[in-house]
Amino acid sequence: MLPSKCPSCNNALKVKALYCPKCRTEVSGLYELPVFVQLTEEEQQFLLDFVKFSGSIKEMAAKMHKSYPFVRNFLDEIIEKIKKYEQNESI
Amino acid sequence: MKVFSLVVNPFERVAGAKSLIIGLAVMVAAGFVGTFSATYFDGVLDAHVGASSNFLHSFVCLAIDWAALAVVFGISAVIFARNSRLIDLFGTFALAQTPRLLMAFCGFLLPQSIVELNKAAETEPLESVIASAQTIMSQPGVLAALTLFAALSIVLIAWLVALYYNAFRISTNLKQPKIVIIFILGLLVAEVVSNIAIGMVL
Repeated sequence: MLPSKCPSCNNALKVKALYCPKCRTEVSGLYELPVFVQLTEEEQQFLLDFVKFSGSIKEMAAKMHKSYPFVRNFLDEIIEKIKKYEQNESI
Repeated sequence: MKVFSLVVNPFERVAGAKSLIIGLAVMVAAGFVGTFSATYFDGVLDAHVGASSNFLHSFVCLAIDWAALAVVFGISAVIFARNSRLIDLFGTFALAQTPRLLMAFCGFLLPQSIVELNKAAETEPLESVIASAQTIMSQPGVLAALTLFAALSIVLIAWLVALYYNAFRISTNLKQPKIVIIFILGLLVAEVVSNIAIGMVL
């Protein structure tokens, strides 16, 4: 999984370079990590599954063996996190 | 640790209609057991042993307690929480009544003499009740039974309150410190509402 936090100071990481394995071109700069990548692995997997289940909390609850309100609360927390990241990016 | 978490907060796994059905079955069972152990629950946090009781009386008390909790916390959820479903509140608060089934069983721990004394306390003069109490307390094993009953009751009431809190937390996703204040006030209001409603109905 792509790291999103600095292992030394826990600050949010940025992308400094990208590399094309075909022509070996290297693109350097300072790019923000996409919001999705800044989420934890569990949250990313949750969102992928949620999209696959057409946004059905009921089906997600059955897959996770959790109750409906637990899944809805988990989703609400991810939404809050995304909003926070977006706010930080716009500052 | 996982088992403890499941006991204190089963609502991560069970909520909504499923917990409502299980909770109602638990309440019927608690009412049934309470009829034989002379235990009834005339308030969202109350348990009394030794009163003259029948199944209808025991069950109606439990149903009123549950309804008072669900309605009071349902109104709180409508005001303070978004995205909450009433079926979750009604279901989780029904399942949260589970410790009361064990409390009903605890009624069997008390010696018959104590149960009879409690019944007599409703009708007989205070002096006569105190005199009987002194005689009963001097009997061997009575103090030990009372101590065990009190200790179990404290544990079960703590479990009951923990379940109420988690039922409200999972159903509304409110955060601290807001949830603590709303929960304490809601519990007090539900206690008063249930006492008044039980007084009016029974």
